[in-house]
Order: sequence, then structure tokens, then C-alpha cells
Amino acid sequence: MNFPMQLPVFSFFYWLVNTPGLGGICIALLSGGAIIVGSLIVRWVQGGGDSGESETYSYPTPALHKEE
Amino acid sequence: MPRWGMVIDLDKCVACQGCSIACRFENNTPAVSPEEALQGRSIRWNDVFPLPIDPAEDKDVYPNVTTRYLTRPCMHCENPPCIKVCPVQATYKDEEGIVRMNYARCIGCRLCTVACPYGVRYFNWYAPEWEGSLSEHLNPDRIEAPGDLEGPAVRPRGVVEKCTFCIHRLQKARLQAEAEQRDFRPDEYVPACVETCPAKARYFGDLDNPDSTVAQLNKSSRAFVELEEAGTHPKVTYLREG
Amino acid sequence: MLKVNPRDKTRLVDPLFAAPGWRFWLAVVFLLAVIGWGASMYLRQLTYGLGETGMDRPVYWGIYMVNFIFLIGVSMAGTLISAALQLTNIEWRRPITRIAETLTVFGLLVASLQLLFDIGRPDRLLNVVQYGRLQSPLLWDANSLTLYILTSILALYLQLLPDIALLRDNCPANAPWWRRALYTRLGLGWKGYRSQWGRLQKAITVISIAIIPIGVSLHTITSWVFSTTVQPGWKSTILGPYFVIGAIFSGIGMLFIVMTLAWRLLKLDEYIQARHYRALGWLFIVMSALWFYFTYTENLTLVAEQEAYEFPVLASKLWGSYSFSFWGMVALMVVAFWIMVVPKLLPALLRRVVVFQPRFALASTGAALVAAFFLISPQPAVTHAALMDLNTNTFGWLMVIGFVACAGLGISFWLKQHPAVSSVAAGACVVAGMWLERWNIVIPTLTHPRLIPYTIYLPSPVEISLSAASLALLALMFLVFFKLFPVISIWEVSEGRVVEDAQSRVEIPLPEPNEPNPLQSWGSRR
Repeated sequence: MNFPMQLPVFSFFYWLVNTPGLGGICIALLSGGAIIVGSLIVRWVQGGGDSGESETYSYPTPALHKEE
Repeated sequence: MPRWGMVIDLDKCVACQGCSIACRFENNTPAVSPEEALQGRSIRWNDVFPLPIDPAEDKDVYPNVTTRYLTRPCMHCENPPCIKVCPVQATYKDEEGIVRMNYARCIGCRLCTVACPYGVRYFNWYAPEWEGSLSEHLNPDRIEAPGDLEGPAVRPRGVVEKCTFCIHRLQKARLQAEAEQRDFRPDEYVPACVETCPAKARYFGDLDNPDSTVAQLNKSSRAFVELEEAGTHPKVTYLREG
Repeated sequence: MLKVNPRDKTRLVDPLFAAPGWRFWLAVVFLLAVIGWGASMYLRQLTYGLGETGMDRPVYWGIYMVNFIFLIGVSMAGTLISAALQLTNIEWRRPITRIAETLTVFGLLVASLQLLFDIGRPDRLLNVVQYGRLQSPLLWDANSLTLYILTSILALYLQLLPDIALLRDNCPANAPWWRRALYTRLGLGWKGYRSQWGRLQKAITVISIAIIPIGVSLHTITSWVFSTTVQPGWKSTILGPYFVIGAIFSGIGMLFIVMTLAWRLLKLDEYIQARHYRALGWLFIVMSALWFYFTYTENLTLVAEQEAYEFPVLASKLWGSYSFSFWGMVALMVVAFWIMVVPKLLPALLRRVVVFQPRFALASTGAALVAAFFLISPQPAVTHAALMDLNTNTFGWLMVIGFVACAGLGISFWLKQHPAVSSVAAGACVVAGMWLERWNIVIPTLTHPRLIPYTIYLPSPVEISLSAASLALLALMFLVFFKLFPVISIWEVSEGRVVEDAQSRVEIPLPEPNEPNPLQSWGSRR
């Protein structure tokens, strides 16, 4: 029990892990972030269709991306 | 600010289980049916049990028996494994070192019951029931605030409960001192088990006051704590027999 | 308008729109019945309380927790197969990525259901968000599980997107309106432009990189729920990697079962072939070896120190009340290892040797059964006394094991010729063995606490019903999902076909010979 709990940095860390609600905020941030990033990725992929190309492909091959 | 602790003198203890019964009635712990009890679902905040714990290990034949008894409240550890794992802070250690339990917030995940090496935490497998007129004579004391329910308040089904060092008695003593417009003295409050013990084997008081009985007895060469190797630093100390 | 290869159309697209046969409906009705039974049992548990389970003090956790760990373990397959193999660009992954990813998503969903079964106050579940405390391992688990579920759903969806668009464009005229609407909505106007493909494949790569550490974190954190306590048998540093290895192992086992079922039921001979079993088999063997290594390491330290509270936990597994589950687990793992390894070691020449013929296996099995029956069944008093002698008894059981090993030798060549059957058998052994392993980790520690008498835990009918219903739910999810979406990733397979075709036309030249080292050739005649 010689842990230097009285040091402000450790008290702060303990406050961080011990305060009810912070965990919920963490869950909310993580899942909210995942949902936002996920939907941004989906939108970004979908947005690839606005480039005004004419030919479409049913499947890719490595050669499809050579020129980019 | 006192730091509450208990000392149990095993030399004086006669294993009468008076502490267990006093606790049951003080804290409204329900009795379960015999079948449930056999399945290990009885709730005894203050348990009295023989050592060795495993009956198979007890090979002695009378009169050469070495069986001992241990009375076990919650150890109110300085470093409690139970509060560290609670996901919602339904169990926590307050400034006076008492490990408390909030029935209104507990989600019943039972990680604290699994984490406690002493097995002092109990789960309400069914809603509590009392036989006959017993239900009319429950202890009305309770600690209640919005989102908070503690003490002897009747527990709902599906939550964990445990010994609180009769936290409602502390609250009452504090309120009384306040009503009489004087300072609260640590010797104004003891849990029900300490009050009941006919052999006066239990001592209770402020560990931070070097003159208190518990602080003095803690220095005794007979003093030991249960499962010291678990690193929990219990505030309940035992005095060895003999 | 996306075109689909006619071969894929008849095999993968058309069956999706065909009216489901009576077998499908029978399976759905059966699974729904099991789920309904489980739901009624859950209602019972909800009404009366968790007392309806077999749990008690000190066994505060039962098979709900075992199922939880097991199911998130099974879900690890998707992460490994689709993400890791995609990143390393391994060709044979193509036909099984869809199945693996679906296994991840559904495994995780059913696993989180187990937590709901397990907690005493499901009505207060949101307290975890409102009052969540970061110090609790359960909260780490909640974080990791949510993130893993969301990421794996995204991975599945991105990988599915071109196929949904393909289905949208190839809907037969008589397809019901809601399926058209479903594919149109989910297809997000995917056209298959070059830039779209570029973005999609970049996105898939990013998700694949992200999902591997997330998956590893979930299994490690689940082990930390146990190993951060001070309980005998749990407070171990090796539990984290042990859980990860076990998860991958059981995931591959489950994958073997699901992909073989899909292959047989949907007649996918063209897609799922012997080479997939062979390649996955090597992975399986590696995991198997790692699993034995970890199991040995985990228990060795306990044996060596014989600590007062920890050793009884191990003793209960080695020869006590849990010896059945422990040695059952070991036996299943040994059998799985044998099935995958021994047939690979046998040269074809040995085929004619009598020891390696199925009739020898049959005879050995018969001998083993007779010997075991002789040992178990009631015998006349004299024989019984003789058999109960420790030496005789041990010898008798060794004989049974010897016969079983002979049967294993005899069946090896047959297994070599039937890779799918042997893979499924090994997979089933491992799935059952890993469930037992989770049981062996969770339950014996709980039944051997320090200040409470030792007990024995048996799951109650409610717990068993809910576990069965969970499995049924998993199966039903697969059944419905693969009735709506293709079980093989059409675009990945099409790409693979072209790539392999191109590769087969390339002639790989001989290696270039090196110039001889002048020092080495000094003095020798040119």
C-alpha cells in the first residue's frame, strides 16, 4: 500500500478510471466514432460513382488500378 | 474522519452464531428454502463456518479434533478486489473506509462476487420472501437518495448485497449527534453483530485513533488477517486462539 | 448494369431467387421451435429470477459465461481468414471470405446475447453507459465488443456491396418487390466504376488492418476479466494469448463445419475445393500445436508450485470432479490433431499395408469397444476384484487406448482420401473441445474458492435450453442470410478466376545460374 496516490498525476488517473459515467462516454465515443467513420467510408466509396466514367466492371483485377 | 475497523478475538468466540442472527434481523436478510440453502444460495452477511472449510479434509476423530470456527463479516478491505471490477460503481469504498453497496444501481453482473476472495458478497437469485408474520417485522431503516438504496432496505431480485458494517447505524448516530447539536464521537456507533456478541469477542472502532481498542488490539502479537497473500489489506483483524 | 458470369449465375444467383424447398422450411420451423422454447425459458428466468439456473454461491457464473467466451472465440475466424489473408493477398481465401465474415458478425451478436442472459438486472443494462467506470474489465469488454461488432458489420457490408449491386441488376422478373427494394437500398447505387472499385478496395484494406488488433483486443480483454482477479487458477499472465490462440483455433474448426455445410447443401463444387481444405488444414495444424503448447505452459507452473489454493483447482481437472471435461478436452484435441496430421505424414506406398486399411480400423474399434465394455460392465466377483486392481485396471485402459490408436492408424488412409470429411471431423472435435476448454477455465476455479466449501456445478434445464436456442439462432441467422445474399463472394471469385487464368498462361523461367566462385574453382580443371 505504498502507492503514491497523493501525487496529483495519480489522483487524476484514479479519478479518470473511477468516475462513473466516463466509461459510458468512452463507449459512446468509440461506438459513435466507429459509426461515423464507417458511414463516411461507405459514403466515400459510394461517391466514387460521381466521376462521370462510362464503363463499369462487375469485378476488379489488379490491372484496373495500375494507371492511378 | 474515522477509519472503521473490527477485531474478532477467536479466543473469546464460542461460535454461537449470535452475530449471524443479529445481522440477519438487523439487515433484513431473507431466509431461503432448505432446498435453496442446500444448493448454496443462503444469504449470511455474517457467516460462521468451521475450518478446515472442505469437510473432506477434516479427518480428525474425537477427542483429537482440531476443528476451529471462524466468524466472517465483510473484511472492508483497504484494497478491495470487488470495487475495482464493478462496471457501474454500485459498490465503492467511502471516505471512512466502509465498502458500500448500492442496490439501486447494481446490474447483477456478479463480477464482484466472483472477484471477492472471501466470498462475502451474495446474490439475490430470487426475490426475497419472509415466512408468515416475519414480513411485518422488518427493520424499517434504510439509506435512500435518488438513484441510491443502501443499508437494510429490502433488496430487489437480481442484485448483489453484502455486509455494510451496519451503515444505517452510523447514519443514525450521526443524525442524533447533529440533533443534539454536538460533535459525533466514534464510540457512539457499533454494528449489530458487535453489540450482540455474548462473549464480547468483537471490537469495533476507529483504526486511525491510536488510543482506540481496535488500534491497540491490531498491534497484538496474536493479530492476523485472513488471506493476507491476496493483497486486500482487510480492516477486519482476527486474534489468534491460544 | 453489372453482368454476372453465367456459371456464377446458375450456381449462386439463381438459387437465391428460387422458391425455398421443403427442407428449408423444415429447418426454419425446427430452429424457430428451438428458439421459441428458449424464449419461453428466458421469460421464465426473467419472471422468477436467476435462481432458475444452476448457479449458486460460489459458482456465480455458469455456462452463459462459457458460451460467451466460446462464441466470441468462434467469431475470430472471420477476422483471421478474411482480414489477414486479404492483406497478405492469398488467393485461396476468395470463396470462403464471405462465410468467415458472416460467422464473425453472427457469432458476436449471439455472444452478446449471452451477456444479456447472464446479468441479474437486464432492465438496468443502460447503467453500464450511464455510470460506466473505466477501471472495470467488464467496461473494457463492453468497449471492445461494441467496436468489434461495428467494425465487423462494416467489413461484411463493404465486402458484400458489389454483390448486392450485382443482385439488384440481375433480379429475375418474378422477384418479389421487397427483395428488389432491399437490394436497391443496400446497393447504394453501386455502379462498378473504376474509381469506385479503387475506393472500395482501399476501404477494405483499411478495415482489414483495423479489425485484427480489435479482434485480438476483445479476446485478450475477455481473458483479463478473469486474470485481473485474485482467484486461484485465473490470476495468470498467459490467459490473454491463450484465449486468442484458442479463439483462432475454434474459429477455423467452426469455419470447416460451416463451409462444408454450405458446399454440400448449396452444391458449390466449383468454388469450395480440396485445396481450401488443405490450406486451412495447415493453419489448423499450426494453431493446434500452439494450443497444446499454451495448455501445457498454463498448467505446468501450477503443477510445479503446488500452491495451497491453486493446486486444488488443477487437481480437480486432472483427477477430481472435472477430470471428465479436462481429459475429454485433451482427447478431442488429440483426435483433431491426429486427423489433420497423421494422414499427411503417410506416404502413398503404405496403402497396401494391412495396418492402414479401414477393415483394420473396424477391427480395432471393435476390440476397443469389447475391452471397454469388459472393464465397465458388471463382472463376477472374482473377475471384478482382479479388474479393480490398480495395475490391471490401468493396463486394461491402456489397452483400450492402444486399440483406439490402432483404429486411428487404420482410418488414416481413408481420411487422406476424404479431406472434407476429415476436416469437418477435426473441426467438430475442436469446436467441442474448445467449449470444454472454456468450461475448464471458468467453472473449476469458481467451484474451488478459498473460504467457501468446494461444490460442483451442473447447468439447469433453463441454461441448457437457452444455450441450445442460441445455437439455433446462430444457425437460423446463417440460413436466412444466405437465402438473401450469395454465400460466395461473386466479385472476389470472378477476380480470382481471371488472375489465376492469367497466371497459368505465364511460363516461369528456370532460375539463373550463378557464376562459379573463382576461389572455389581454383585449381580445378575447367
